[in-house]
Amino acid sequence: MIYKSVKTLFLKLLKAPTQPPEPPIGSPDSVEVFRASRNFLKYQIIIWGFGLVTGLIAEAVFVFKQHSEDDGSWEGILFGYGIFAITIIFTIAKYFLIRIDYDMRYYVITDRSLRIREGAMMIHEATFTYANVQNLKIHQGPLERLLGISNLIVETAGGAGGKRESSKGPGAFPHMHGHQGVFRGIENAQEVRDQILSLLKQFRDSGLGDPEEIRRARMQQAPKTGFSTVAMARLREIRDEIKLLQ
Amino acid sequence: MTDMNPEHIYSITRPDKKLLMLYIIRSVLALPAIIVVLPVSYFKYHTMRYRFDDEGIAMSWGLLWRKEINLTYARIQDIHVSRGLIERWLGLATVQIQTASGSGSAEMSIVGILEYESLRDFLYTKMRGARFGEPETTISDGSKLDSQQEDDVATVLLTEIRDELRLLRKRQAGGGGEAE
Repeated sequence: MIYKSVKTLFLKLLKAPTQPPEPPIGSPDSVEVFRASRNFLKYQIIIWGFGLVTGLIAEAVFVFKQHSEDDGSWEGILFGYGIFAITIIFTIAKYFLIRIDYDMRYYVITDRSLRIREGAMMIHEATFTYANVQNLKIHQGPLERLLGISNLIVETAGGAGGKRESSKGPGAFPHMHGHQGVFRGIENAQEVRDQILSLLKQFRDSGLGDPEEIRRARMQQAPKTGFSTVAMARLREIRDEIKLLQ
Repeated sequence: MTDMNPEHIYSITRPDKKLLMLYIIRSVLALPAIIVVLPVSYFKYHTMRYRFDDEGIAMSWGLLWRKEINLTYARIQDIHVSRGLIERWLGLATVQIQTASGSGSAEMSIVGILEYESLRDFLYTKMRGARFGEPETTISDGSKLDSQQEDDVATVLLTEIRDELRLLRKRQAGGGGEAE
C-alpha cells in the first residue's frame, strides 16, 4: 500500500518515534494505552473530502469562465490549471498528514496521571496528574455525533493561550496547549471521564500545590484501633479468662 | 524506562552544546532576521543557567536584560514535551512546565537538555499527585518499624497476662475443687 511506504519513509526522515509513548512511571498495572477511534479518521477524511469538493467546484467554475469568455487569454487558462494542480498536490499531501496524524496519536491513562502524544512534524507530549485537573469537558459536533465520537478536554488551573481556541466555527476543534489536554475523537469519552473523575474525587483541595493532602490521606488510612489483630485476639482471650474466673 | 537518577538531574547547570547549533540553524532559517536573531540567541545560550534542587528549579539567562525564573515542583500543573523537526535531528527537546498562572504559554521552557526523558520522569515524580499515598510508606518507613515493634511488645505482654490469668484460674479451680 502506498500509504504505508510513504509513512515509513516520512517517519524515518522526520526521526519520529514509531512506538506509543512511555507511560508515566509508577503502578504499571493500571496503564491503559489507547488511540483515537477509527471513526475519527473517517471524520477527518470527510472534512478533507468536503474541502476538496468545494475547492474543485470553485476551480471548475473559474476555468469554465475563462474558457467561455471569447477573449479568454491563455495566461488566464494556464493560471487556472496551475492553481488546480497546486490544489491537488496540497490535497494529497493533506491526506497523508491526516493519516499520519491519526497514526501518531496516543492516549495513556494510569491510576494517577494521563499522557497524550500527538503530531508528526511537531511532536507534542503532555503529562497531567489527576491531582491538578480542574475541569473535564466533553465537546461534540454534529458530524462527530453521527460518527459516535467526541473530544474529552482535560483542564488544569491557569489561563488559556487560546489563539486557536477563539476561532469557533465548523471544523474548529479544541487544541492541546498549556493547561489543556485533549483526547480527540474517542468513542468512550464518558467512560474515560468517569474514570478520571472517580480518581479526581480523592483530592478535596483546590489542586494548587497544597502539600496537605498527603498528610490527610495518611490520617484517613490510619487504622482505627491501635491494636494489631494478634493483640486483639489476646485481649479477647483475657476477657474470657476473667469471665471464667468469676 | 529511563534512568532517572536525581543526582544526575541536580548536576545539570548548562544546556548542551547542541542548543547553540539549534539556535544557529533557526537563525539561518529566519533569513534577514539573522542579524538580530543570531546574536540574541548566541548570548541566550551562553548566559543560560539551570539549577535543580530538592524543592524546585531556577533558570536564568540574558546579557543586557536578565531574566530569572524560579518555581517549585509542587506547583507544577502539567509537563509538556515538544520536539520539532530540527530538535529531533539534533536529539533535543523542549520541556515546558506549566504552573497555574494566567498565560497559556509555558512558565518555563527547559531547552537544550539531552536527557529530556529522564528530566520529564524526574519532574513527574516530583509533581503533585504523581506519588499519591506513596510518600506515606517512604516517610514513615522508620516509624512503621517502630509501631511494628510496639505491636510485638504489646502482643507479648498480652500473651503473658493471658497466661497468668489462665494459671490463676486453673489454680483457683483446682483449689476450689480440693476445698469442696
